Amino acid sequence: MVRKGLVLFLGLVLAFVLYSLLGNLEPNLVILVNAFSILVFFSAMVYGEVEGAVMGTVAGLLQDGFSHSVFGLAGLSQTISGFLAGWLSQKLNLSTFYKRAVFVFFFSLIQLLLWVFFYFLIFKKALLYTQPALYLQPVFTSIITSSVIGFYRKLSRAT
Amino acid sequence: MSFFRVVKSKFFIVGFLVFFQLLLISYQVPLGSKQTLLERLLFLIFSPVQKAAVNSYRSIIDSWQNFITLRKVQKENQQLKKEIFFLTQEKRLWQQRFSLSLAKKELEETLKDLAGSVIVARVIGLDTANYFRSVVIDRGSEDGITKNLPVCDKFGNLVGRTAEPVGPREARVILVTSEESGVAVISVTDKMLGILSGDGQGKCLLKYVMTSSVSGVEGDEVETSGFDKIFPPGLKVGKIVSISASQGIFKKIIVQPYFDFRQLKLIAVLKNKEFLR
Repeated sequence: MVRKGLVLFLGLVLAFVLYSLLGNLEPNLVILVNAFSILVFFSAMVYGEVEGAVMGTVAGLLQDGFSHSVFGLAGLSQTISGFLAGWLSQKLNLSTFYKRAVFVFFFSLIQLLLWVFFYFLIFKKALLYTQPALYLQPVFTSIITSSVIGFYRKLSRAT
Repeated sequence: MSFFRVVKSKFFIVGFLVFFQLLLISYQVPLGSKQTLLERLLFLIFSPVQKAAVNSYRSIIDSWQNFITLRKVQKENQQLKKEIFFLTQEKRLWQQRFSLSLAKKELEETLKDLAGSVIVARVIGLDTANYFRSVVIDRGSEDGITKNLPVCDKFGNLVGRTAEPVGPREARVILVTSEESGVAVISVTDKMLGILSGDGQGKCLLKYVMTSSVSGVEGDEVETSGFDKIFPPGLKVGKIVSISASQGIFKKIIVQPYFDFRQLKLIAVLKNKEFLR
């Protein structure tokens, strides 16, 4: 329990640091690589749906905290997608890299669509037009998340 | 039975979390642009982490550069860059003061006040949803930053204004390219007035110019008018790139801002706006 909490807290800090550094390297990387989504799907697939939903709330709100937008938009979409990904991942065999990547791609797309939908409801503006790089976000999220989970499982087995 | 209980409890947790966030969203409606306490708290806790991460990263990069190049020259260069930055800002401020033909005595008094009127800040973070909307800088209330202070790039072009949340050592800047920004502007040639707002894609729209109006020339420069009481008059904003008659009663005027987003490493916060008045 303590270890899990520690891993998730460390993950949150790492995701935030990653987001901060990516912006310094190239502004488009902040849109392409959503460090908060990667953390949410990691939590959901490694620990389960409740952890995915809680991390979705925490990481999503943190993402909102560093955007001049409606506070809670990313939080809501991350919570829903984190819970669904965690719930379904328990029922499927996602042992290989490719299976995990396809699974995360699907849920990352759902998360993105939910976010864009909520954004559209409030601002009456489609985010996908203003930030075309968002289209590629699920691809990057799925590849990175699948790799991180694979690495984490190998590391856990070794220790 | 126990299985259903577990499912129920899980759905209860996610339901509670979703409800909590819907509550957060609805709570902001009466607040308008003000931040909720939770949002401010998250910003205050995590912005120092961001500053530390970015500074560490930059220091590693700087160390490597220092290793490759001559250290002394590097330092000298950085010092000169800083001086150029300050001088560019001061020159622009002085040019405007001279244009008002002030008496010598008045100018001397102004010179005293000028010290510390510009705060140099570094951009440490970008907006997570749309980077044309806002940035986070490494200066805060301890450096004299309050909300609604004009922010310029190193050439003196308008970048945006400071906004809440303003932490002790970090603050947010809303860019002129944000859909939520509003700047009272005037065109240089034909003195066309309007409100400049961002389109969220790196460009700005000059709003509320009637279709029947004859004013407005493509290529004309746009600067702040000072009528909004936030931005002092005379700050250069951008250039009109296209004018078209929309279906409504207002023209659609697109302005390309002068500041380059990718070159936005150092910015100047104008602490004392009265100099330009």
